[in-house]
Amino acid sequence: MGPYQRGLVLAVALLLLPGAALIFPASAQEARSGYFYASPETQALQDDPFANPGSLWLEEGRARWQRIEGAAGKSCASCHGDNGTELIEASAAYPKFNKRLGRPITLSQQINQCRVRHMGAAALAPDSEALMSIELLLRQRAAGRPMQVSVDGPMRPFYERGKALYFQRRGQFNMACYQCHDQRPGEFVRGERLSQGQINNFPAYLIRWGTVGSAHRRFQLCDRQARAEPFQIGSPEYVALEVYVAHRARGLAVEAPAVRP
Amino acid sequence: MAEIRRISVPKQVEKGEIFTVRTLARHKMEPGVHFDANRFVVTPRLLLQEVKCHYNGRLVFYAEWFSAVSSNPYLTFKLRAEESGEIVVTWVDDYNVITTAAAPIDVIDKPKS
Amino acid sequence: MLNWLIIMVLLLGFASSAQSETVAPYGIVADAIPKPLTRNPGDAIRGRGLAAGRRANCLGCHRMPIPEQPFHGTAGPRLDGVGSRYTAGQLRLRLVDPTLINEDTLMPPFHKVGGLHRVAPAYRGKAILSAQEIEDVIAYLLTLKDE
Repeated sequence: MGPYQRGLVLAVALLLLPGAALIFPASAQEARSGYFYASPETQALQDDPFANPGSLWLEEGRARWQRIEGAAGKSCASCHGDNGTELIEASAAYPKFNKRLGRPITLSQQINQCRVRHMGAAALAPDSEALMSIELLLRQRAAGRPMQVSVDGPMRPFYERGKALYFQRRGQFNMACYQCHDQRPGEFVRGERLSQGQINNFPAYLIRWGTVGSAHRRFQLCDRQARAEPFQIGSPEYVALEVYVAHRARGLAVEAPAVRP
Repeated sequence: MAEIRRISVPKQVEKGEIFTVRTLARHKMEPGVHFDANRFVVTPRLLLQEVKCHYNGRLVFYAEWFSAVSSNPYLTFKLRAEESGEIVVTWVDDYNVITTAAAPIDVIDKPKS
Repeated sequence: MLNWLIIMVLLLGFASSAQSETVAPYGIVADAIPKPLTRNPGDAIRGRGLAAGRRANCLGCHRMPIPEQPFHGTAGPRLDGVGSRYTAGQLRLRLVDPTLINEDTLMPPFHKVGGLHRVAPAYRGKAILSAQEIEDVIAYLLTLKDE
């Protein structure tokens, strides 16, 4: 089909599909946490400090914070104190540029950097309960603070790469992130309500998982739903996507422990 | 998985009052029904099968759980306050591994009015 | 043992022939594919089953007069009366590859294998629906007339 024909077809299509033009992009919308789109039952579960299942991970995280591991004989608390107060700002600002590696790393990856380089302990497996417990604890301490990932200077190319991924169609269903999360938040895909795809609440307890998982694990789920081959947790692609999506959530309050469907 | 068992009861209730016991157990509740390409079970079944509640040693609540109970199960039930003492909740898994959580309760006489 | 091997080979052969399913040729006129993709006419009853089923999953995004199924999606337009609004040929193009008429559409291309990015291995080289299934869904959609 030539460009002229294509244009003609498009014009006809626009006439035939007036509804398509009525969908507003998210830029015209206020940024909203996924909490807004969750059912009242899910919101109630998150709001109840006793029943919130994510709080079980926090409990484990508090124990792990004090646990001495590795050749250096240190725990997280050895360097960062019992409350990790100095980490509160930083926990709302990941992914952050790591000068030594020359690329941004996630909070999960930072925890493992600490373990390997400063504690002499083994890295924890991606999305393992142990790693999610510590990360959730850090995020809970930053709860209420605005998301504030930097995309300036050396972060810029990673932001651009993530943005390209956000707008790139993938999979047999040929879908891009923005189509659901910028154009249709609040709508239903079968029984599931679309949110803006904000990640101010990760790592989060997902009822479907019965466990706490990372934003990357959630990205994988989206990719699978589009019948696309997911990237690995912690892959450069998902780190870049997280940079873009975290910046998109800037100003939204960090939410932890969050519960989502 | 770190085993965590939680219980919550009111600190103080009046004699005869109906109060709520809330519990939360950290558990995968693995139904063991996921199979690999060769029809081998991926993760063997591991469920909490029974939940019991003893009020000063007397069995006052009992539940049997099956594979449809969610992971990290939250259970709440009501009891009538009779005397001060201890509420003990016990979870029993497929291998008869027993875990418990306990909370004290203070029962006071109804103020005369 | 040998018997098992033969069965395995037969099964593999069968599976790979299903994998190599290709797309039927078609011609576009304006915003339509006027000619059916198959010689057999579409079957509206099979089409309704596909629309309600998990594989085509039309209900994922569209509300349709399929009352026995709960939770119709709202991400796309209602399809009640769609058979009065579009011809068979227009529906065919919208099903085969809707990006040809709306570059921004969320609707998947139901009969396309090329030009897709990072398709999961299980679906690689396979269209969502076969040519016959496309015709079946069209036959069903054409029954959805305005009152």
